Parts: sequence; structure tokens; C-alpha cells
Amino acid sequence: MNAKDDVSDIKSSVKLEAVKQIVRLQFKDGKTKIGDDAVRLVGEVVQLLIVEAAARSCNQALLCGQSVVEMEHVEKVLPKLLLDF
Amino acid sequence: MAFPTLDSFNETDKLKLTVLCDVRKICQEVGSGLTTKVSFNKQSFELIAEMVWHKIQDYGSDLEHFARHAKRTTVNGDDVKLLVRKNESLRERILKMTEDLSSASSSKKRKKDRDSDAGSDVGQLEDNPIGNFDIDDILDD
Repeated sequence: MNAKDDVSDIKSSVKLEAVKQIVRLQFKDGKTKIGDDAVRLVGEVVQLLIVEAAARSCNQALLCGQSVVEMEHVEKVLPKLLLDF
Repeated sequence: MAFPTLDSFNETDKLKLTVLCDVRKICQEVGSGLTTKVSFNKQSFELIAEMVWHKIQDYGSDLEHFARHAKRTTVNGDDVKLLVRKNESLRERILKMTEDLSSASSSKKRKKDRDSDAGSDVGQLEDNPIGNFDIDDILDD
């Protein structure tokens, strides 16, 4: 069904610097740091999370016979998505 | 009333906007890549962005706990591997990426040893500043 079968074909990506800042905001201990490799890996996980959310929502919208994804379609796929990530 | 500028947002708002922008771009790309073109309405990608925001925050506190449990103060790749242990395919992908990253860094180190000009070796993270998102992207809604 997908014209773009590989996730790597998606050119847009999350900003690693933003991911790093959000993660660092959660650190309770001021001494905790995060390495560059770890930031890249978390960025990849987040990228996959977004692509998966988008793809499943699209699929849900198509199943309902619509070509615009609405909030209800996202809501429908959200529980399973959160279990997978 | 003064028009709000980027400086009037606090750091959290800026980060949220950055996430929203990225989510919107990725959603549009995924939707337009399908054989039947699908578009996203505003609420739907805002909901996805909200979910992603909370998820990154969860990852943050989890990673800190994993690192502290391993008696480290720096989060590294092993903590991320622990984070994705429950999703088999995601775990395989992350393991593969870890190998790629470690082989890339060792070859980079070799290159650095050979060619002592370290000034030209700028990391990928530095040229990606957080405030660098396109303001037109936010305003054209």
C-alpha cells in the first residue's frame, strides 16, 4: 500500500538538539549528562514513533473512507501505539 | 497589543513548537507518500505532537534512572537499548544503529589520528540549533 516502504525514505527528521534539551529538562540530578550517541539513538526512536503514529492514523482514516486524518483517527490508534513504544 | 516575537516564548514553548513543526513535516511527508494521498488536519498532528512531547519526557526520566542504576552520570547507548527492549523490531534497529555509530566513531578517530587538523571536525549536533526552525512554517496555518 505504501509508496514509501522504508522509514529511511522519510526526509524530514526531528531536531536532535531539541530532543536533547527536552530529555535534559527531565533530569532530576544536575550532574546527569547525555552523550551524543545516546541523543542520536533517542532521536531515531522518536522519529520512528512519529512516522508510526502518522502511518497508522493514515491507515485508520483510509479504513473509514476519508482522505483527511482527523483527531478521532489518531485517538483510535493511540492506545496500541503507546503499548508498542 | 505587541505582536509576540520568538523571544517572548519561554524555552519550553520553543521546544514544543519545534516538536510540532517536525511532527507536521513528517506527517505531511508520510501522508503524501501513500498511493491514496492523505492529509492531516491541525488537531490531528497537534495531538500526535502532544503525545510525542510527553513520550520524550518519559524517555528522559527513564534514561536518567537507567544511568543512575548503572552508577553512571552520563546516559549512553546502553540505556537507550534498555529503553527499547520490549519492542523486538525497534530493538534490532537500535542495535544495528549502535554498531554503525561505534564503527563510524572509530574510523573517525583513526582519521583524526592520521590528520591532526581537529578544527575541521565539527559534530553534526552543533549545526542544528534549536531556534533554527522556520517561522513561516508556524505562521502559515
